[in-house]
Amino acid sequence: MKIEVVIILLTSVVLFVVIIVIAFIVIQQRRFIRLEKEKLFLEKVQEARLAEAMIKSQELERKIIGENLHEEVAPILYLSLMDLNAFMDNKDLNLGTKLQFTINNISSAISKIRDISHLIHPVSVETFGFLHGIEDFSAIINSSQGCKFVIENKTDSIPLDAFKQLMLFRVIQEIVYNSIIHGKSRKIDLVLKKDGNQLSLFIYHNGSKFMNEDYLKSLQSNGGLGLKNIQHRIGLLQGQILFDTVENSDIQKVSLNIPLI
Amino acid sequence: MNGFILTSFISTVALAIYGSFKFSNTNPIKWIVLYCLADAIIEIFTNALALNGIPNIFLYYILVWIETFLLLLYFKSVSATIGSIPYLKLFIPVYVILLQILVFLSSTKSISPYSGIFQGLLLFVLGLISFHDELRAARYSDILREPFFWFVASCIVYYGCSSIVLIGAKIFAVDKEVFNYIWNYQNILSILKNIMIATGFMLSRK
Repeated sequence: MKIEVVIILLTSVVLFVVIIVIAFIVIQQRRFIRLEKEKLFLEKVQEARLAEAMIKSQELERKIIGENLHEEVAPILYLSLMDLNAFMDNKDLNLGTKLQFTINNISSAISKIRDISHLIHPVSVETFGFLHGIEDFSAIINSSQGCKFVIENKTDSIPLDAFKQLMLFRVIQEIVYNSIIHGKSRKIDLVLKKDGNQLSLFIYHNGSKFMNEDYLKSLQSNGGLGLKNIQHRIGLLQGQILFDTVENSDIQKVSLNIPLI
Repeated sequence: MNGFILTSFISTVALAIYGSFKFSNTNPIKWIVLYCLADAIIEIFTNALALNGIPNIFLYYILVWIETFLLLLYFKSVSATIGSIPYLKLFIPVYVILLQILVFLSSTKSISPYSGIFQGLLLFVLGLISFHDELRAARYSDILREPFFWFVASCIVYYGCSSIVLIGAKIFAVDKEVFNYIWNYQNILSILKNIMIATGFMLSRK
């Protein structure tokens, strides 16, 4: 074979390879763009779901506030109003006893309003921090008699800003409510630990079984508003959550890891 | 002049004229337009000198230098990696000196392939780096509709294959007659390059 033919053939092979490489680059670039678009779309869907969950959750909170005020506080105040009207109409009654009864009713209504407002907006967390807020919350749960909530604190302070402390409080609040309402738990233990730049929280309860797979499944479903809120807040805290069971027991364990940065 | 050389010459001049209408001072395309203009002007001078029997090899070396310089500036403006190379400003004068040495060492009667091989491999690698950058950044939703793709692809095809032609000529130590024969093939590559650059010009927005 002549030299010139060899060189031309060799160059043709290289040209062919170069064209294949360019075609490969085009295909890869298009694939990358498609994957980016899909990722963006999924992120938007996830964001929309979270926003929807937040709004629905707010509506749910408002509904609970309304129901609590209507069912817990309004009847007490209504009874007190009736008593006061009765004093005005009938002067022969024992005013001292009746007034004491009305005072008790109004005190009870004030206490209910206080509890409800603390649950809606935990001022104690904002003013005194997460640890104080969680103790207040535990007192409210324990006052219901239906469930015992014990806190074991192995930290001196929580070095997170006010917003993050409120987020963390909301996460604990939601997990505790879920374990009581859906898990029917009667005893809850909260353990707080600090390991270097990491805050670890463990919630143990005797409610029904709920594993990490159930949690992930709930996040993908249309329901599970509370759990979506937990996930959203954990995301804001850049933390991690794990639903598990204590080995060789029926005790459910929820582990939270929050970076302290 | 045979058919391939003539077609290559006409396409180079036509491309330079068409490209000058696409010149925009704020767009990296200006380097490609200047490249085409330089190509066409030197091509005209080369042929004029050849027709009058005057040696024109030195114009080839000047062309190699100008082409590389302009394409380096183009790659610098379109590729983040190449643009961020801190030694690029140092590289250009070093390259000029290196080229002068190569010209000095070269014969004035036949083309020395070293500068061409060096230029070809350099621009081929820079083209691949630009594509690699695009694969990472994914700036364009349809890359085939971007002038960037056609300009860089033309560089990869033309300079990658030209290097092989020159390396082959060097390895097999071909005589002048054989070299002129395989140089025809190089003209086919030049026509292909001109078509690809023209496509890029057509897709460009001023």
